[in-house]
Amino acid sequence: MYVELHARSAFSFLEGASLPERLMERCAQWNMAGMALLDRNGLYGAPRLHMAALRAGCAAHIGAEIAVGEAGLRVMPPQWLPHSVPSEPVRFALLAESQAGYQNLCRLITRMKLREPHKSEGSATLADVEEHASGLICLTGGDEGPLASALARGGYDAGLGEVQRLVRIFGPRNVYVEVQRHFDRAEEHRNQAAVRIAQALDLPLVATNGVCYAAPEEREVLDVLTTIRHHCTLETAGLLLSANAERSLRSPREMMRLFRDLPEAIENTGELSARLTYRMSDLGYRFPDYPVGEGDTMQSFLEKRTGEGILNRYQPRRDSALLARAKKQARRELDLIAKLGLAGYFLIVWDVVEFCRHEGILVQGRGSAANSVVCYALGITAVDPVGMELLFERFLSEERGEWPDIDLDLPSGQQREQAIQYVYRRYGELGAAMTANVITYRGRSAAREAGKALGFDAETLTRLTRLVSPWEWHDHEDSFERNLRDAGFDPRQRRIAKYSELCHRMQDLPRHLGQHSGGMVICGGRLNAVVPIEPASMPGRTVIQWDKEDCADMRLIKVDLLGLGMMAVLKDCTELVPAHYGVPLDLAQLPANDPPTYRALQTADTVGMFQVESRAQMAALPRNQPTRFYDIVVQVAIIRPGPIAGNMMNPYMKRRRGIEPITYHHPLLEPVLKRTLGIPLFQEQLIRMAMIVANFTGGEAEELRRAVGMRRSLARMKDLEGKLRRGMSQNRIPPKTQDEIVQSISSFALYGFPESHAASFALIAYASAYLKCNYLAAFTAALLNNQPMGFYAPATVVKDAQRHGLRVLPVDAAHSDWPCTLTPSPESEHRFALRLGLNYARGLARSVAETMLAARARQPFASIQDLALRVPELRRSDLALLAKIGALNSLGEVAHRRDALWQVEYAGRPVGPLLDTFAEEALDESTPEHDARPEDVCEKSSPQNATRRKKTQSPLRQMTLEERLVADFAGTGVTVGRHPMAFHREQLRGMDIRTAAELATLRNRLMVRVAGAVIARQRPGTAKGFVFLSLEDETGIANAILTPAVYEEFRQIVVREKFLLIMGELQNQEGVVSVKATRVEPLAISAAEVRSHDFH
Amino acid sequence: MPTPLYLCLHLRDFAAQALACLEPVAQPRGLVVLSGEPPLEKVFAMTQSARQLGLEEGMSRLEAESFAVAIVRRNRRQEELSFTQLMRCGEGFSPRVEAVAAPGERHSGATLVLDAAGSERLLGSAAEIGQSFWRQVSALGYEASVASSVRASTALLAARGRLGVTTIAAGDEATALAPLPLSVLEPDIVTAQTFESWGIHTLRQLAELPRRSLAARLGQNGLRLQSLARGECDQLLVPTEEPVDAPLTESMELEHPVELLEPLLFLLSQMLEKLLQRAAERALALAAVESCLALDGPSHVERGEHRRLVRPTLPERERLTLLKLIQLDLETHPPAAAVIALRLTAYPARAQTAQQGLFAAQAPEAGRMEILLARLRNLVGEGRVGSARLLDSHAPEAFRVDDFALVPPPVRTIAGARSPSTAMALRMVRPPRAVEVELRNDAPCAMHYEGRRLLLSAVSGPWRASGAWWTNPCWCREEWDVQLEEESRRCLRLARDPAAGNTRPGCAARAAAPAAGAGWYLIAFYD
Repeated sequence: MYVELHARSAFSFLEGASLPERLMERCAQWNMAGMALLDRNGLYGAPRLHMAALRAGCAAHIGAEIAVGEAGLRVMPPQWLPHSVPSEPVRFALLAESQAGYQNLCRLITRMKLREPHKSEGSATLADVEEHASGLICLTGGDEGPLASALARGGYDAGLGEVQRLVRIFGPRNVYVEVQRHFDRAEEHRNQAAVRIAQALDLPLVATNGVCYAAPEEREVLDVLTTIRHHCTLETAGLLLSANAERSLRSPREMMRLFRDLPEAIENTGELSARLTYRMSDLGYRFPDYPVGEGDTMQSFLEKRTGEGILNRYQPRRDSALLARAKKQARRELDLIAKLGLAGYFLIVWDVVEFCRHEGILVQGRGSAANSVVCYALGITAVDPVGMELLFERFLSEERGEWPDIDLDLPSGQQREQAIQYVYRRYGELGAAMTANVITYRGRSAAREAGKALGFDAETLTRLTRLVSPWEWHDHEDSFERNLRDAGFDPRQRRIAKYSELCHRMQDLPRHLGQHSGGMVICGGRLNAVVPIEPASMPGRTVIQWDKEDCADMRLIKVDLLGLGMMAVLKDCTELVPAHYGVPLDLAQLPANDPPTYRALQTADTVGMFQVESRAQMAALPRNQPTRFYDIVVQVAIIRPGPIAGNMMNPYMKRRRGIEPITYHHPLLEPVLKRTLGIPLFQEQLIRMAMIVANFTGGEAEELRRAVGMRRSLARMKDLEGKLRRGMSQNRIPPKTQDEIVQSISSFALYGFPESHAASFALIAYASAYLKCNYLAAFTAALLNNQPMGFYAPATVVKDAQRHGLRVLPVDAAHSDWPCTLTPSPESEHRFALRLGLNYARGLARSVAETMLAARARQPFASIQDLALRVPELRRSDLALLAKIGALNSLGEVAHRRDALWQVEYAGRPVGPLLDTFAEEALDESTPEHDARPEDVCEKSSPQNATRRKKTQSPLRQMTLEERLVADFAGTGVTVGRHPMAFHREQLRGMDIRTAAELATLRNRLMVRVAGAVIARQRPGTAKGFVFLSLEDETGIANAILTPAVYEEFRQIVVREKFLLIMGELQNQEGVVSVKATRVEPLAISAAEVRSHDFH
Repeated sequence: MPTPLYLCLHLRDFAAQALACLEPVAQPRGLVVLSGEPPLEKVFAMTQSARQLGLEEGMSRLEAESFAVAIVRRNRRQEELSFTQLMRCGEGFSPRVEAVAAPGERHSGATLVLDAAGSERLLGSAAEIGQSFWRQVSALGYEASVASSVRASTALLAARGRLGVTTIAAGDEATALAPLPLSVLEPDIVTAQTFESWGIHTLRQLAELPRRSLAARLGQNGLRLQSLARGECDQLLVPTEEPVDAPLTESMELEHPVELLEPLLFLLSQMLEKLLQRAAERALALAAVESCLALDGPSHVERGEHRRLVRPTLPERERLTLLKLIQLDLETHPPAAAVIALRLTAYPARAQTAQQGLFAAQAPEAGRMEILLARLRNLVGEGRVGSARLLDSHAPEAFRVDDFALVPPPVRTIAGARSPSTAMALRMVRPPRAVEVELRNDAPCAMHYEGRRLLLSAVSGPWRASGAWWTNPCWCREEWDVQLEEESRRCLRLARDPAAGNTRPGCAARAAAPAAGAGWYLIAFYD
């Protein structure tokens, strides 16, 4: 019996070419009892091998190759051969025999990784290995191992000494002398010595193949990965490449034939495999306990906190029936939590939430947690699951036997980092870590790397890489081969054919380990005994070696601390609104049915609002006409690839407007689908449907949802469908209706959205809409201070706010703070004007700005000279930047921007005392008047200023309107003046060009011309190649739709030009207005660098 | 003393114009020249017609491709040749020519300034000289501008800023320059940005700025630029001269086509003599000599050139040595037709002056060695004389032949001396000899060699190697070490191409069991 005990997978990052699943598949194919995975310096692929082994019914032995610097360098090619093989430390091949061994291996890897100051391979010391040797079995390794190295260094004697050292470290029973045969003379020479050493020391021999890939043809991929690792091409790699294709997983029969002279080496693999009893099902992971006071258990403590929370949440509503239902639901949930032993988990998450509250960090749970009243009561989520009749089973069920998943949304940036660091502090450096994110080779990266390896010149490489479609949308004939042909490459040519083949083969192979956006794993005890931990690229962060799927498979509990830009905006609003408007703002107690908010939503006046501001949302809102909170929940969920691809949006909208009757597949389904007018939209509805029509339990229904959604196992899906049909037959549902229900479930399960998640997002969407409609100045300031975020660039946000009557003031060195601020403006309908902050002066460092603000706080700046003298940190380029954007116009004797620039050049280059005695020349009386900005004119109109100006005015003429626009966009990305289109409106009218606002008043199907600055370009995957453009003018945003043919015809203009003129047919239906383009032309309006947010 | 007179010739987008002259067909739709390493190539220069289509410097290749223009990569060689042509043209008007802007990394234009003072009586008035110069350059196919002034700098700015011929009378400099754009001054980026932010776009605007205030802000550089803009700046002309190590050329046209080598050598000898003499005047030797033989043909179109380069290991001063090398080279690579013209281009370099060590082994004279090697190449073929160099590859016997190079002899120390290797030596059989092999259990058991059946007493293998799977053909090899059973018990190395008899394409996969006798070779003996 042969068991492969030394294999590397693609998780040895560029040293293996097959995924663990593929290795295990081959292993099962040959009825091998099991195999061992020894990836380089990590257990990255171990969970996948373990899961694959469970499915295949084989044994997955876990181990790793550990680099040990003190044990010498691995075998190198002979000195007389030219080569570029770098020297690397030898690697000990270690296998975990028991749980203690596994834990030692994890600790050993963590120790060597965390010793490095940065993310790197690292290497262990012999002392580390000795300390963690218990429970581990050491193989002497192949050409990367210590025995080969010693033999090459000092012959038999050195080899013998090396193996003796291993015996001293691991014990005589735990060292196996390894022999590998890859048809290489030098290796066979070493094998002869290894056999003699094994005999001399009475150690068992073990045959392995030092596997690097599953099948011989994958050697080619390994060679490409080798070139990537060493930054060379296949032509120049030389001895770095494999000498032959013999490192594949071999069948037992093949191995027995190969080692027929050493049968004991084969037999010993079986014996050793039998010794390796450790399986990853037994990780020894435990979620930490939450410390509770004496007399309390975690469960009782949780029940108390939940009870208090229920009262806090429901009592103020004075609805006793609701309160009773909530209590009943809480009892049910708590019973289940007690049964599953999850009290600690809820308390840990609650603890993080409490920390955030204490620190004033806005936090809200999202995802399926919002189905739980316990989460609501604990303040983890903000959606009332009882009031909204959300389904608890989607969150937690007894049958599933898995940990619940709670995601917390936090303001992105520093506050989220604060929460993450709290978790690190609370559970220790070795008790918590971020989840990894395995970065894999995908379309473009695979295309580029394969091309580089094949030595294509940079030009060809660029052409080839471009063939991988950049848009989300792919034509059905959009195959790589076709693209190759179209680009003038012959796919039959060997090198090109190989390229295409390699691109395909490299797909999904791991490239490197990244950091998950917010997932944290916490452990009771030491996490480093469960999974190796290594430093992340980001300082102060550590990351485990598994990604979130692996964590779920291995049942590690993850808490997601996700950053959400809008949370930061809401948080800022909670400070700005009370501070300026003098009213308290509690996001949990916002008025429920605020008419202006719903009016804005109904008219798609939603720029800046969370989740409902995109072009697609704007096109759907007038049709949906939301009038209550649940409509927003539907709105958030319906504009998704799933519902759109599943053709759910149109029927829903028609039913909503009464154009189509509301029907149900079966009367039993009416209570479930009533809220969504008979159209299944949410995952919870699928679960309920299965429960009602086929008598599924909650857990079974959730399993059905997952099976259909993930489409992992066809057999399992068939099984569940059979069960579903049997259940429906029992309920006497006719076969035709059964078909309809099954079809309905399959069509949307893949993309369905959890209702609870939609509800959580809808809360934020409503809050953002409410704030925008009621506190526009504060909301806009917060939005501008948390860029980049959302669908629109700041320039669009500013213009939208101005159209809503908000006065926006420019950046001003005398008045602006670092962030955008509110300033009283009694004459304005919004009571406040918004002052752009210095954060909008592009290129001005925050530290410099803060020094300047500190100096200004002591005493206002009298002039540019004063500013330059008192804030020496301001470089000449900073001063010039501020001058260009008009931020120095209100300082001292400045007349206009150019005047400021003239002074800046003088102030930025102080002359010595000798030259300082020469006064500036007297100025020409004809120097132009001020800049045309009204606020500047106001500030400059005093007689004293006029007198002073005469003395110091510059000889430069003031900027033209166009020059100011260009300077504004270049220096700040926004303009507070008129929209570039407004300056040319008369001329545009002469060209019969309509404004965006006018379009809504025109009849459907009229041929129109519309023009504006391009603010968004989209080619979504669900839109069959159509391109959507958003054009902005001074009256609003116009939408244009380009068919694939029109897009192809005008592609360069559409992609490159900043201002466009579009001709086409107006589509004005149900309040949704767009122009179906027939022609696109560039428009020479302004040189201003208007930014477009493009979604490729 | 004659009145100063300077002429300036300026060709915008010279890099494009030099190529457009070669491809006049492309001109109507425009020609664009790209520079830089792919994929970061940018538009470097373009013809006027391309500029009118909206193309701009700095555009990417992709952007340029969206216009209906011909796109070519920059050709520095052609630019240099065309520039030499311009210099010759300028030298027809004045011996004192300064190349202000020659083809370079940054500049896409070309500018010459001529000191034409005192030429009026010979060539006419300043305007006439300018017109004449402009006509000659235009006749070469270039779009040029020519300006004349009593100040070199004024002529230069006017030529950069105006098309055609401009004559600026003394005292009119400021007026003539006033409307020109500021870019003609070619200020550095920071200064240009400062002017841009000030709204200064023309020389008039710059000229009108208060001088002292400008000095306080932009320093001497600002003042210099303003003086230039006002036409007040005097600039010394520095005539351009050829560099010392510029290639030397001798050419000769023959009255009759010559087919025999001997008379050619007679002529080549004379030309070499002159080249060596010219090099000796600069205290240089010749590092390489390129002979270019114009060949006779039935029509002008079918006439070709026969180019050969002889490069001795060390720069050479001996005519006979160089001549012999050329002779041996031409014998090895004779021209395909009779020769009607000769041109020799010599590349001068400093002669070798290194002193050999007193106790260094006596080496043959370098020139004689060169001739010997050339004779050997003549005998055995190109690429077969030199030192073998191992290659970084798994491929069996991967090596290439490098030319012998002069390397210092290795320093030998007694302590570092290695004992002679006791390893078994391998004697390669070249070319490998085909043998028939009998197999037992997939391993050789007997072989047929020179009509004899030889039993094998021990075999070791197979040793497999394969590579270059991405090329066609790729290679793969399987080797066996075998010992003969006969008395000598000699050890041999056999090889087999596993792909022989295997129809499966590629070589990454292990070969299937081969048919007996297929594709076996004896490749080496163990000594």
